[in-house]
Amino acid sequence: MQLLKPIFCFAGLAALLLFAGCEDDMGGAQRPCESDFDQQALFTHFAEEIILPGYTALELSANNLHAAAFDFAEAPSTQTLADARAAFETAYLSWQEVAQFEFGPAEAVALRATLNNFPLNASALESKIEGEDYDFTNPNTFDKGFPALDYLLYGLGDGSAEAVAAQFADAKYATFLTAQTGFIADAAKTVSDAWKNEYRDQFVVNEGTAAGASLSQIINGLNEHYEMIKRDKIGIPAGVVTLGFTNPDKVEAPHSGLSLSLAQRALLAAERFYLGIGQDGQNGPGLDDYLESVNATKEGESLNARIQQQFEAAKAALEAVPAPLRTAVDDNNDLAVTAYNEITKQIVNIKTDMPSVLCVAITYIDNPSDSD
Amino acid sequence: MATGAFRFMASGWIERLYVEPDFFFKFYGFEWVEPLSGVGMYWVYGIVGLSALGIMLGLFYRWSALIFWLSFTYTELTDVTNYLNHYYLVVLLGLLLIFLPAHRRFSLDVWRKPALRVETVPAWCIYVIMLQIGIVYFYAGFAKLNTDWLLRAMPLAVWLPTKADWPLVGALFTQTWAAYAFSWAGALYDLTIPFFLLGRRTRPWAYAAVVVFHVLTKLLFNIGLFPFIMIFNTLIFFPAAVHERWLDKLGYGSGATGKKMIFPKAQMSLLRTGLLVYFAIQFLMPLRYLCYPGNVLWTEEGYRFAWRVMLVEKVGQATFTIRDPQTGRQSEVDNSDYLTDYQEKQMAIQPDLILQYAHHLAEVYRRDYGITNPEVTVDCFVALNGRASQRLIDPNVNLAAQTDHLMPKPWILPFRQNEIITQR
Repeated sequence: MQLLKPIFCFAGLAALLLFAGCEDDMGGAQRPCESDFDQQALFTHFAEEIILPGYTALELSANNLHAAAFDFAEAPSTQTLADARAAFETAYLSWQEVAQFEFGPAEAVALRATLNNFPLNASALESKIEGEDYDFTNPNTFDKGFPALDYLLYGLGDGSAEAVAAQFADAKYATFLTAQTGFIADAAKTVSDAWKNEYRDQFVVNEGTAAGASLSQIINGLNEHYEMIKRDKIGIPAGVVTLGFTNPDKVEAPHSGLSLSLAQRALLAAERFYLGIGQDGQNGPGLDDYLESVNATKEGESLNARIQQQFEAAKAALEAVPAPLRTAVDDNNDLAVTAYNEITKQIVNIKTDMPSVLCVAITYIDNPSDSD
Repeated sequence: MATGAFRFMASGWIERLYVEPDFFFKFYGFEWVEPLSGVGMYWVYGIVGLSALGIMLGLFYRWSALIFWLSFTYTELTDVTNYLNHYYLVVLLGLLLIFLPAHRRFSLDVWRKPALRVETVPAWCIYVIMLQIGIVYFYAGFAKLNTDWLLRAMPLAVWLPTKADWPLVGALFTQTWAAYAFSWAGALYDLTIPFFLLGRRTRPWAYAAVVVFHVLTKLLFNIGLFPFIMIFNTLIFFPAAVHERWLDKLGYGSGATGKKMIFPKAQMSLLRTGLLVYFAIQFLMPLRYLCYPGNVLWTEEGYRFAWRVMLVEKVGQATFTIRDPQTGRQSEVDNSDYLTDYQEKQMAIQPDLILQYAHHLAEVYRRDYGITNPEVTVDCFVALNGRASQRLIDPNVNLAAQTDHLMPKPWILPFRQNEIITQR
């Protein structure tokens, strides 16, 4: 016991000294991670005005696509093909709205990978058709989903309506087409139903900042897909990751020429998701309001304002790229690269800053072992 | 006497699966350590497990301890991103165990060779373990004396609310004051517990605090075996009589032979020098951050091997660009082509790993793309403890031309405190 006294003195002194020494180490912000933002209101709005209507729209357009594909397969002609193509375009665009909600029901069925793995492996698709293989559930293959439809409806033969229609005289193509559109319609219904039923309530009450809480899922979902817009839709075709050598064939929809519209829609959907703009155009609670509620700033500026400005810049830069993207990546490479750069600048804001200032646990990446 | 305290060593070191990435981050000075391929690492883990069992049972103790230390240290040296302070502690304790006579009473070695049996060992054998544990606690507390921990309750203010779903106390964790209370209590605990454990009268209470503290951290955080290591290791602070009493109760008590363990003189002087050097290093290692400019939580220069546990919530993103100065062509790197997700996460917040990875990329581009002199730059943003991010690395510096060394790295950008996030 007698030993303890001097030891205490020493410890106390050391503590005091250090405290004083570290004082100016890093200025202190006040009460971090505290917010009275109403998470449930945010989740309710997201579920009811953004996510569920998004899936309902996808389900509807997928049903229309399936019906049009069925008509075309029954009686291939340039007219029935035109209807099928129009339905395909609508469905593909409505897919872009929901691609970022890959958590819960969508994650359970690997919706994004089964519906939109690209670039398409055309020869794998051809052998799938030849082998009458109608299993579309493998998330690791690149021979199915919307990219397969892009190929089947626009890319057969020389790509002209006549050539495509002619190819569908082959019953194997006709059967495959309707099997594929039927699968998309079913998948959309599965996820949509899940959101209508049990998952909505689960999602709305899953408050907090823990990994797996709704906020964490929203932010992860947004970021994961945003990075796909950046890399898969624009970066890879523009040659950004291949020493400037472009990959025009790796665009999302090379045959229909829809790639740019799809990317624009996806970027817009990300912005609307962030702002909390519903399918009806009403601006409700969003991540922007959440950031404002904690007065998040970066380099003396409102983080929310920075994010909004960057969305505008990214959209404008993407707008400046002339369609189709497949040729633009070569003919106007600088524009495509600029669009890529503007899209990229947002990532630090939404992937690093936003979760950090909202104190959301990031498990985007799982720890394989312990931490300390 | 010491035997009882080391039994924990055997518990399940091989539980972890060994993942096999393509690229491994090396420790400075240990770049030559390569992981074995295929099933090789499983064998190593098997050896770690068996030798730990050997230590616990006191079977072929010296060899077991030596093999355990070598094999365990090897597994830890294979990749920096797996570094954890408590693995480092196991490495240190393993090293000490090789030289301690922890097999001279309750062990299979004694059963094999009864002559080995002794009743008491020199006091220093116990003291070295106490000292080592004391150092861990004290420096862990010392590291908590920073403004983020004490004045902003960071990072506990981020971590505690994630446990809000706990029954009864869950709601507590979302309270700001709770984060402060835990922060201050934690710092106080770490700084003082070794001293309380030393005091005869405070010891039982201190040990109760040890158990409560570590059980709590075990439940709150994903920290693996560390709480158990500490709970069992701190038992060594209790005097031999207490251990004897418990052993009697358990039916392992036995007539005292009074035989003392005595080290030969020559051996002793060698050991004394060795331990002196060892503990000098242990005292100085955690303080080496003082030799570097800037905030150690930000630069991580002098961060490892210093018992900085649970101090930062950091997220980073590092985008590397390779440029061929001859053609002007450049390419952005997809880190997932070369690293596992976990490696990428760790790399993006630690400058020395960023440099290692940049060198690896330069090597890949030399080899696979025929670029003779690739330039590697990185755009790296890190968010520390609930703030908005800042650039960690000078984006204009060609990292391929930088060499790794222990001097301050001029291309680490300083932490700017006046641009931190302000919250109400």
